[in-house]
Amino acid sequence: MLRELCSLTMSRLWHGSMPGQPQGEQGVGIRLKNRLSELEKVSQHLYELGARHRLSPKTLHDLNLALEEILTNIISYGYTDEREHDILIRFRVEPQAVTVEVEDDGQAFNPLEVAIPDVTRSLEERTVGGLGIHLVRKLMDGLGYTRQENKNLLIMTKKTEGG
Amino acid sequence: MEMHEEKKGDVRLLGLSGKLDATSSKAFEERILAVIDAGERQLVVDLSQLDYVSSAGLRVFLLAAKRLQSTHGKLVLCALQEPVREVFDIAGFLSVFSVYGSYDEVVKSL
Repeated sequence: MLRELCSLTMSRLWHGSMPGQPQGEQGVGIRLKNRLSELEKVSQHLYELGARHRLSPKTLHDLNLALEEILTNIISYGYTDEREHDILIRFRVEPQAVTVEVEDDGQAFNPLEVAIPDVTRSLEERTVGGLGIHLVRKLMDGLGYTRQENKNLLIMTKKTEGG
Repeated sequence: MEMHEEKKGDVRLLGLSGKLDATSSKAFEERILAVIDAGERQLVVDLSQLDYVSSAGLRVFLLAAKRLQSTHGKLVLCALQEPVREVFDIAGFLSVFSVYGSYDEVVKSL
């Protein structure tokens, strides 16, 4: 069962139930606009959550980095128009793991299908393409993706240390 | 993220502290490329005070190293702390960059 759904003074979201979540459970998430300047808000939210749940610095670092990589991707490449879009993020802290769900209405993008970069190449041959997603895959313990109607739903899981 | 700079003999030392992320890496990119374009050939970046780097930051190191290579210069990194070291490791960057444990070790190697 859920130990606690994060509760900050943020707008209440997720009125429907999410996939994989029991009917009736209602979480509190944060809603971002598709701007890089919004990333700081996510970080702050995560670290406040971490302080309340005594998450380790390593767990928080890895989640923070994974979120930055995923959100930067969505914000930079996800949209074909110039309009403002909402990105929804929800955190769930359980005794053994933290789960983060990211939902956006950008173009379909499945990070599980991104080619693994060859990290053994020489300096001349190296590019940073795919490196962000590579970091996410390596630092998270679980990664799931579904495309629902016109939305991307990404679910990342990080085991908590000693939890 | 904050940067400090020192000129030590032929070496230009750049120190980074805080977070090198999607937002702050732009300033680092502008600065380090300006230093290279101004003719610096031996660049040491001290990461002892850096506690976060994302792929946006890694991109700048790669860019700087490539530009220095084309001018027969050299980029050296020192004093990587966890978890920055782990991120460099996952990216395979520890094998393409010259990485030293501390600035003193860099000096001894020159």
